[in-house]
Amino acid sequence: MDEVRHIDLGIFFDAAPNAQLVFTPDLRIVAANQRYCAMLRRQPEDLVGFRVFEVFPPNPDDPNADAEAELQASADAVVATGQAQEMPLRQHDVLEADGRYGTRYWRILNSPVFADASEPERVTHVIHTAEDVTRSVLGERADAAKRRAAMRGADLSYFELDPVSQSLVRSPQLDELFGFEQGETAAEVKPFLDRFHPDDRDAAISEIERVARTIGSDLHLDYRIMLPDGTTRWVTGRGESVRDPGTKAISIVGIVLDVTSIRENEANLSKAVEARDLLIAEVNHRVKNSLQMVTSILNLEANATEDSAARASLRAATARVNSIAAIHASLYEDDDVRSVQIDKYLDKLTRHLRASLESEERRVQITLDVEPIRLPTDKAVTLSLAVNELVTNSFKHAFGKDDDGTVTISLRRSGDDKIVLDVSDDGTGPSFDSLDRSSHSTGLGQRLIAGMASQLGGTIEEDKTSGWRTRISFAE
Amino acid sequence: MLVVEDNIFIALDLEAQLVEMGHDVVGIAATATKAIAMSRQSSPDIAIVDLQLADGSRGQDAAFVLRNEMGIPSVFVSGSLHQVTDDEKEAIRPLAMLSKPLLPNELRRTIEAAASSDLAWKDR
Repeated sequence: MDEVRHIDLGIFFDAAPNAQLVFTPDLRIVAANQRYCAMLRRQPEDLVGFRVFEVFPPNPDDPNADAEAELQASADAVVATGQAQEMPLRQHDVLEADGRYGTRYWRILNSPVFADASEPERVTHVIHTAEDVTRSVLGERADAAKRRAAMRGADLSYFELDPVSQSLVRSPQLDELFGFEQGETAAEVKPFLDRFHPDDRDAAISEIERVARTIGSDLHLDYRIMLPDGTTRWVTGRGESVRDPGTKAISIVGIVLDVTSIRENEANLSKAVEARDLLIAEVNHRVKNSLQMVTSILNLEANATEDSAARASLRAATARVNSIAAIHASLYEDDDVRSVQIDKYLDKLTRHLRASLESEERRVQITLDVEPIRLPTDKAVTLSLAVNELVTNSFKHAFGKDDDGTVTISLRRSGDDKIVLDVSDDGTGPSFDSLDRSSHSTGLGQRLIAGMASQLGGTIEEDKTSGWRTRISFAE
Repeated sequence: MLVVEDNIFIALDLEAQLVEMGHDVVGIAATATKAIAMSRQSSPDIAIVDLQLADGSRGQDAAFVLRNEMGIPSVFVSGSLHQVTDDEKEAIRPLAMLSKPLLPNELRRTIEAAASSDLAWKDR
């Protein structure tokens, strides 16, 4: 029974889970429990005998730091009523050991103590129970500040719509977006719906109804609104429906954003793309037509001339124009107009060369051996002209009119960055005289081939050990 | 044969190529209206038709009338064949669609292939 009779009651005060301070009605500290001392990082001797605001002076940087008057008023009320008084949650920063103030928020309960047995009705002391609520207060503030910053930053219009009562709580930006003066409309959604574009309104309303039916579903609104000044704006709304855990009421919360400029940019962009495509098609058409005109003029000249040598020259010119034209046609087969899939093009050129051979009833074959290679357009044009010249040369000089034979076109990579074009034939020339053949190398065709090799930045090699082979090597 | 082409150099070249192949050319029309009028008058076997004609008229419109009212098939020769829609292709059933510039003998081979194909002539 010693545990009951002989215990110092001060032990209970120190063991209490709440931070407690005892002061007289004029705020002079009489006792502080361990919890209180620990919380404020003070020793009892730092406190006892001092007035509260001597040891906890107000922060000079806090303009609202008039806590002393409030605490005194609360203590006065405790004395006057004999009842405990709860103080409104407030900030009172605490002077730390290093002379700085720490931001602190407090929830305070002041309770009466009647210690004078001769005057049992008189409040002799006040027990001051202090709860530090800094963390939760600052946490909420931080969240609210983040929300505000996010809404300010994006100029978002926040709304909360009650689909049952049709009430609409919203940020001022929403009124501004819909062309309402602040306070012009009450907390109802109807005036806002009235400004929806008539063609979009029904779809928007049924979307809102759909989201209201399924809690947690996402709201996707894209609609036009008609402003009083006659302008139309595109807006987009995003949100979701939620049920209040307390009231069980359903609301749709979300944001509305003016996307008119984005929509306009999209429209302008697609117009520009359309115009560009039309322009390309038109230029393409004109180039093809012009090339046709050139070949037509050459054909007409060739038909008109009596001189067979002149006629042959004009036909050769036509063939050169055609090889340029075929490159041009290949250009528009994919979206890349700066380079050409040269292997595909050479395949096409070869088919045309074969066709013209057949029409001349020649028996020479053309074989093609090319790797898939893309070349810049200007190089491709030069290369195709070179192939045209070399193959034509072989036809002219390697074989007799009725000879069998083969012309081989080969294009492949060599090493890391070299491309090698080989055009070779197995003919010996109509007169079996290589001297006769080499005499043609001063002709226009040979000069063109040399010129084109240097235009490609390449080197040219000729080999006549068996038939005739011309090799052009150039950097990719 | 009828040449429907508004560029005189190209038209004369096409005419010369056709004559060289041994065909008669009944005339050169620069517009869709002229092409239809000349076809009614001379009933060519085949029309060689450009798409974008003088006065803004369209080769497709001439070819449609030639095919469906006179049974005359067309060969399109144009720098912008993509302008012919699938519906037009179905309605006109061109013998061939050749891209400008024509390659040597391309027209000859096309006409010869058409002449030897019973299918191409069944509507005639």
